[in-house]
Amino acid sequence: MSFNFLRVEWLDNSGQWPQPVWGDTLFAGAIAFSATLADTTMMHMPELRQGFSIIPEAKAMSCIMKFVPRHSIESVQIISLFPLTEDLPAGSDITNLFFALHSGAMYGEHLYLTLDQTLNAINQTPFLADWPQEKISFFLAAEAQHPVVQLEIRFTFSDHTSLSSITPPIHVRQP
Amino acid sequence: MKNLLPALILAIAINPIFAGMAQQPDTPPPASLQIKKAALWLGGRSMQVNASKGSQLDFLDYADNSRLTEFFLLGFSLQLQYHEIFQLSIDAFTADDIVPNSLKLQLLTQPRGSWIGLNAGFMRYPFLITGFEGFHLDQDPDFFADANTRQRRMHDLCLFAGPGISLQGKSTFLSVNFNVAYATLLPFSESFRQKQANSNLRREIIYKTQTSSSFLFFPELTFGADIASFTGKKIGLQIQASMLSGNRHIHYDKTVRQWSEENQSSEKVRSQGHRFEKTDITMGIYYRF
Repeated sequence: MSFNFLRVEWLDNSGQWPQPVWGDTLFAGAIAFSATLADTTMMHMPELRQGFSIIPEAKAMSCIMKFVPRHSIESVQIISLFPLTEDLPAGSDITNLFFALHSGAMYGEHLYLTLDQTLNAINQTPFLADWPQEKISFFLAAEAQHPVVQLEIRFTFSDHTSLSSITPPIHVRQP
Repeated sequence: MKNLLPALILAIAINPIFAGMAQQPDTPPPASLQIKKAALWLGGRSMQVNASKGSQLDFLDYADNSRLTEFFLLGFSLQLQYHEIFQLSIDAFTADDIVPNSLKLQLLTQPRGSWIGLNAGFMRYPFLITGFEGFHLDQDPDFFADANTRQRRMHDLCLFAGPGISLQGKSTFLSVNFNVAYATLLPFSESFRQKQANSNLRREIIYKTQTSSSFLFFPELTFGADIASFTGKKIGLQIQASMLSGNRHIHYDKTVRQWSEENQSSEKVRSQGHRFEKTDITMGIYYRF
């Protein structure tokens, strides 16, 4: 498998747990988003049983197959498309201001992981054939001072290919 | 208090002079270990621990603290005699949780025909600290945290020693011990995870307590009276009271991790002393062999 799909969504982390954003505003100290990486070529419809039979049929269970991506994630880069603070103008690389949690790290069990720890954990995780995707949550460890935030996220893989996505702009609510 | 100890040592030293005045019969010493008394008893416990309410978490602020901490203590005692001058007492008891986790071993040595002696022993009993998560819920109102009540069973280990007086009548007995106990609370660790409201900040506060030892005053009193006898054996009623009193503390190392496990800071916290008093009063029935 190889990741060929990236979707980025804002997260509302103002409460105890991160949730999808239903409005258009985030708190300045709770800027967070999720990035879903997937291999869409491995996604398929589950087999549907159609028809009717009164004769019971025997069916062997298939083995649980796990896959490791052919190309590991080398790095992730996060660029702010609007000024974030007075010191971080538009176009600044703010990757180092983020912590992350991947889907294998239970949110309640861990503090945040660094981005390096997160990528290492994902690169060592085999994926189920019917679930070839990984959702990573990113959390900004700084307060945004500009009224609007928009980010560009780029994943670079070991074969030097990359996937990138841009979040929609979102309003920032100061505390 | 300063004059009390030399007086007791002098009393022990000259005690054999008054041996003839003692009320014990002049019988030859038994040759081996003998069971002298067995008792079954019920009672209650009061515990008073003064609160400190400082700016740091103090676990003893959340200790059992009421006039009737345990309204049900059930115990069994066995008293063994060796060569008339050594007396070993074993007390095993439990609270209303019916967990037999309390024990007292006590060795009393008393010169033959004497009414005063020395005793030493070991005691272990548990008590609860409950609701200490409330400290952070009160202290950090803008943080989300687990609000479930936390409870921890503390194990108090006491080594004690001191002079004891034992008087034996025809159908009654009285013993009073004036012990000093070296009491130790075993270390434990607790951690709290928090998430700040309207912020991404997550943190973990970890407490690792140190072994906490204190010298405590530990007097004991036992009085018994025979109510029936048959074939030389006696059945009677006894009342026991004991108190553990002094100043106690639980010092700890506090570590705060913010954002990630790597970003942490630590400090040593010395908690304030608490006035600590534990009183047990029990009544029971005994069988003297």
